[in-house]
Amino acid sequence: MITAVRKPLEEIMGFAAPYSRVLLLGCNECVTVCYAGGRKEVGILASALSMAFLKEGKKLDIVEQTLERQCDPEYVEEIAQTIDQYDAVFSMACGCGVQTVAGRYKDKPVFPMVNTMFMGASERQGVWAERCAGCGECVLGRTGGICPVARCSKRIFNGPCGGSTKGKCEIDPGVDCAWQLIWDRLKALGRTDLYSEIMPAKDWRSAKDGGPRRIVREDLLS
Amino acid sequence: MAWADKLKSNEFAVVAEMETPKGVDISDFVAAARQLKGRVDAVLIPDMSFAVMRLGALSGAVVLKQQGLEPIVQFSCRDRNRLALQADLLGAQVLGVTSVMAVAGEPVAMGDHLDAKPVYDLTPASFLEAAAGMAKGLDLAGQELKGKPKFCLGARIEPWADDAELAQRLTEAKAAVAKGASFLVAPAVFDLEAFGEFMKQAKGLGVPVIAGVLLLKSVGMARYLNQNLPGVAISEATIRRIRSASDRTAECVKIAAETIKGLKPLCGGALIITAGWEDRLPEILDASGL
Ligand code: SF4
Ligand code: SF4
Repeated sequence: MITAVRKPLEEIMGFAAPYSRVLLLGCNECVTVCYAGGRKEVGILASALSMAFLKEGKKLDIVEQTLERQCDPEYVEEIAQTIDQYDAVFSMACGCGVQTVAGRYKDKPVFPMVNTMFMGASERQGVWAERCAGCGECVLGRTGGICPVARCSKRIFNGPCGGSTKGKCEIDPGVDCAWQLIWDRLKALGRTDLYSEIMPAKDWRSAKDGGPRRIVREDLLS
Repeated sequence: MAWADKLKSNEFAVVAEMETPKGVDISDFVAAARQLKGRVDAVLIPDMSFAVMRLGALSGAVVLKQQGLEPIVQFSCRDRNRLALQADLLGAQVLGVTSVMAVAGEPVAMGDHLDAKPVYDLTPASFLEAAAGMAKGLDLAGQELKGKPKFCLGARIEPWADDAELAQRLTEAKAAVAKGASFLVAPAVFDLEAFGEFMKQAKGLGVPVIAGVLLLKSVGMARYLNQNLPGVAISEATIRRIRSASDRTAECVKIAAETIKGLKPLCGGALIITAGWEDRLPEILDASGL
């Protein structure tokens, strides 16, 4: 999923300053799962904002709503009838959702309420970690299911750098060395042969480095 | 004369662009350089333009310096992060190369290493900031340098397709000058009248504008530029002139020379770009009366 964390209240208050009535818009997908921008967080932020404004002797009218998916035009259409009632939209979705709303309602200012972080997975309750950098050419089949692009600090291939010590990355002793994990897993799988195969210099075109990407599925085009 | 002094002299500056070779055989490069000695004020060395891997610009600059030419080195932000760019700025300084300018760099997709990972850590504007900071003795991290480098900084005015874009370019150029650029390199000129109009606005920038003069090589190239380069409009009259000439290359040299002459009263100098035809530079200079 896409992970996010809520922006500091002061920053959000800065966005709100020129407005008197805003739509605080949550999303039911990734940001709900990582407790950053779902229905519950919409409620929490709405109260926090209202209180902060009251304290300053001001009033901000906040209407709460949560869409099924803000990155999907179909659901974003749901606010078409009511959008004119608001001065601005405060989106609690990830960057994809914010942009879908902003792209649909061009004359309405849309502000992000969260900092979108990474594609990751939950390690345990309250902890999420980066797992995939969307490089567009997945190598997990050769690396024991552990991603060197997302999980190695240097995004290197063909084994660890010299800074790998006792399974930890030189960037921080709290960070596992991805290549140690890869090696351990390949050993457990009896596939160290994959490790000895040198991977050629990666083709970064399929990653973000080739420019903004899109997927076109001819079979689904209407 | 050092490039910085030339800029202060208010005389029309003549700069030739020279691509470094793709490989280590520098004989043609040196031969072309020798022909330019005493005839141009500086030589601008692009940094792997169009993302084609070749001998590094700084190395090329040192070779040119050994030949008695005054190099201006381009730094592409595409290939190096802020550590490497600053390190090479220091490197340039200790090698006696002081005139530098940054370019964003054409995308990797245009070049010959399509699978490369581009960097784009700094922009040309933040590069200027870095260089200006270094001249004050501090790097981008705020750390003190041992010895302060002294640069003559330039910046490029990117092409524009319409008036709105031109306004944006002028704003960028103004910011570059405020950040320390002491010369500006404008896109290739094919329409002197339009360029004259541009210069009316660019005069206020307060530093010499060096206009590009791109040697056309064929009718095909002219048509390609018209279609693919923003703001380029090579007239049908020019294209007809090339097509009907008995010696087309000589005609192209003549056209370039006329542009250079036409630029003299308009701006601070000309940057002659031959894109691989460096051996034609002396002819162009002859025809321009330079
Ligand atoms: S190799 Fe690429 S696609 Fe596969 S998990 Fe890593 S970043 Fe994601
Ligand atoms: S220690 Fe391991 S994870 Fe860290 S940079 Fe080196 S190889 Fe990558």
